[in-house]
Amino acid sequence: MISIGFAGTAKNTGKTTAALAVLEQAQRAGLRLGLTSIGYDGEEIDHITGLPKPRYFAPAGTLVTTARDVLTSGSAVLQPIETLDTSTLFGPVILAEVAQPGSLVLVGPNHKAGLHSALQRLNAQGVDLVLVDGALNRLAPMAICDGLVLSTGAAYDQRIPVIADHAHAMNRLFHLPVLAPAGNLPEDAFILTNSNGKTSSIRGSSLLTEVAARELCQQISKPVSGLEIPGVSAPDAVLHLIECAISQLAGAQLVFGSALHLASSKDARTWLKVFNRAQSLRIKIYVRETIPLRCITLNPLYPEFTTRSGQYQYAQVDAEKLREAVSGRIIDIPVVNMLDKPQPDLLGWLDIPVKGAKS
Amino acid sequence: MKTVILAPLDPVHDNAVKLLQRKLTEAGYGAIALPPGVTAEEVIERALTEKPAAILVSRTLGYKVAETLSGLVDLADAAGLRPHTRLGVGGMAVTREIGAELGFDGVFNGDLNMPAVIAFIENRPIEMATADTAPARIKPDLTAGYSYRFIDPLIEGLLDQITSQLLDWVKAKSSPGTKRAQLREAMLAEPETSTEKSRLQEQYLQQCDLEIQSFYREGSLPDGVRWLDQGELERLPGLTAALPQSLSVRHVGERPLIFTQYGTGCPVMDAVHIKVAEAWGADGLLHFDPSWGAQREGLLDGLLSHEHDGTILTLDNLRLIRSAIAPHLLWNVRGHRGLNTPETQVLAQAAGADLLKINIPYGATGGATDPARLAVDGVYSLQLAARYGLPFDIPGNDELSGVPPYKTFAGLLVMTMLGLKLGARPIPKPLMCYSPYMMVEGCMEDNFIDMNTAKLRVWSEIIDAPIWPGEPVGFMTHTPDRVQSAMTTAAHVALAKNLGAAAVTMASSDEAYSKGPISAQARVDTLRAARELLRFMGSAGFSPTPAADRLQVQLHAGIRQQLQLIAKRGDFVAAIYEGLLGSPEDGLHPGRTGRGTVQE
Repeated sequence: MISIGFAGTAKNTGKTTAALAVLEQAQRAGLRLGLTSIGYDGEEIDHITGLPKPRYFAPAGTLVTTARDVLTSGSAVLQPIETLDTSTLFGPVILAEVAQPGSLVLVGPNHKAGLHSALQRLNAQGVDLVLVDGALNRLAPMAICDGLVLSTGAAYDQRIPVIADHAHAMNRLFHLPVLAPAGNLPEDAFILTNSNGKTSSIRGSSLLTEVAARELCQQISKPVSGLEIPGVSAPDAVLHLIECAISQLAGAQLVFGSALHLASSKDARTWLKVFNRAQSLRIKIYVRETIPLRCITLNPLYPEFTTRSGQYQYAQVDAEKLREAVSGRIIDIPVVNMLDKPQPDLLGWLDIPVKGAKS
Repeated sequence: MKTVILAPLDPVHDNAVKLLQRKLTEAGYGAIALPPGVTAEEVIERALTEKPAAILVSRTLGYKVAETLSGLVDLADAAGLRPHTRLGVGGMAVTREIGAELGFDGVFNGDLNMPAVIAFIENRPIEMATADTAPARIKPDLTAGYSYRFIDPLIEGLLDQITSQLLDWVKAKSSPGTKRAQLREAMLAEPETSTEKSRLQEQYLQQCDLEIQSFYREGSLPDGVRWLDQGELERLPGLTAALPQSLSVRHVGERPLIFTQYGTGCPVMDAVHIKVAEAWGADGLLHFDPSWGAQREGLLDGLLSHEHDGTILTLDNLRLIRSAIAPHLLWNVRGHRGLNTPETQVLAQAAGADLLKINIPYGATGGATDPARLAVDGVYSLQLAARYGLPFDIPGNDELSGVPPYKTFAGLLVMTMLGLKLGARPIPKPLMCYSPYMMVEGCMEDNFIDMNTAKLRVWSEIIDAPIWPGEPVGFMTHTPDRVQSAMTTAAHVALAKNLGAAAVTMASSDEAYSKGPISAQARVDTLRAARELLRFMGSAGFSPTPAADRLQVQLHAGIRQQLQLIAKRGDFVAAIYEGLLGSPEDGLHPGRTGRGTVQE
């Protein structure tokens, strides 16, 4: 089973539109599908802007994990299979099969552990492909997916260069070099490796803030060959740490636990400042885990609040300029506007084997 | 002691956080309130140190604020907090859907609901925990704590004289209504398929009008009546599934209990209205039946819907409706007028009613039933109420025809004494209204407080009994403007509370002008408005002008005088015919339905 997460840089960047396009192609390819969401998806009207939303339409036989209270919110008839051990604001998450095709509302596990459990249950049901719809700019639960589709666009920022810069930075985070897993490192500790290759652990926090960085700096008295930060860290704090311990860290390896940890903290563009400074000091940046970012989708539309009507309406930036700007900064993965026709071979981009190609 | 982190995530506002900190500290939690302007990273950093059971975030929602909130959620997940720390959000415009989209485990909006907050912190289902942590809601007894002792001996003496005469008058009399009630009780005691039941039903039909006989014998339905279909019944649970949990309309104190009335014609729609009323804080409900039903001898049977106002009285309809009413709510089935008054009490009791409604003078005038017939049926109904142990209320709505309140109150007092003599528990219902009499006499030109104050206070000079202003309060002060209508209802509720009323009946904001079934949102209007005004008033009060005292003295004297006239007449039924409890000049005429049907 392959699981693909659909994450966004903001609300209304086109996560569900991208997921629906993959759903359609996967359905045509005869894949047994699973659907879930880390937020609330499938509603007709956006809860904040009041604008229409794309809806999920699931074929019969699709497996879903969604909350008890929304099982009958769409036109699809869902046959419950089991209740999972994760709860949401809409009741416990239920694993169910679409008995009659129709629209769906998806309210699935809202955190990483819950999503992990849901994916295991879907795998046990013989699902080929699970689509995990994201929510706003949330990324952390997607850490356990096999691949990621990132949606961005004018809803993130109406300035095309800003969108492009940010997409570039996100892409960089997901393409940092990966070191082999180091076993079960505690996330609330920092691991130092001295010039002889000997490691020592400093108790800290699973979130490196500037205060924590100052404390850590005081404990790095000698030059090290490596510093590992398994937990989450704020880029400002890492920058502070580097400046504070320039002589000790110069030429060392700086290893982060996960690319998702970096992406979950602050604006990805801030990390580029860290990387640039590190490069100038010959500090090499690695991550222990990442998730393959397979493609970036673009949405030139954004909700604009009109004071005259007191309501939101869709506005848009120049779609072609947006595509050119982002494509110009992203060279290693495809970039596509999901509204363009014909749509590309998304299954191929996502490295999803179709039935006929299975060994 | 569990720790909870409270974060405003707002550059300026942290009032909700401060309030919650105080409440949680009082509840025994270690509540850490972070200052305004704190960032998501700072919240998570503190959480990693404190290892709280929950992080509660307060933030008014706007576009792009969502990303800030979801950033906190994401950071909590990435930092490994979520397996041990629950994330809750509260604030204007935060709905359950938005909370789910943001990834929160709990959402709090509207007024602070501490049992729900604590349940969330303790990771118990909120709906369960609310019931667990709040005292179990017990069905209140409206008559508890009242001695029914008469304070005015003159009035007590007059009532004794009047009611003795009436009880003596009805002693050897019966009617088709009393006979059907006896037969109905016997039928209810028989198994569904017994031959005895069939025999009793045949006897029952002999006491019914042809239209009712034809329903049972040929299956023909009266105009505008149809059977409920299975689909309607199956959809009912889904129609009420998403309603919020019950709120209390009251802010301080346990009284008045809040009653609303329903009777859309369709029992399924009634059930939905009942659940709406229940969700917005009603303590009790009154069943309204169609007026044509009261003018037929005999009642229909089965699950029936009616396309006009009033829901048909059948045992199945009543049981369906009862099944929709939460156990702690009081339920009144009215039988204060019409030819089926005694049988209505039988069905109401069989279906689980908590209160009955009986008023001979009003039913025999404004209710259009013949006075002699209703005297016989009414006394029999009071005997049933006593046997069933059910309190009965006495509506004073004849005021709406133009009757002065002292005459209406004289009738209420006769019914009160009658009920007490027969062992029942009466609840008089003086009307808080802007009646035609008041308009003509100019008694309420300055304000609505003085007259209503006099009308409620006078009871405390006469008898120690629960007083339940009805039906509904504010009658004839309502207009088609829903805001105005909700406002005036709320004002009357607040005044009733201030005057120590045991209960009040409220209309919806479109009840007088709906031109058909009332709407659920209009039902919410008045409940919500009353809740807001009771919150506004708290334990503060109204300040009547000296006119209230003057009106109270006049009213008391008028009641005495009218009871003296009725006692002097020596025949209560004749007194009704002759207008001593409301005359044609007042706007009332003796009823004619059922005339000549009393049997010696």
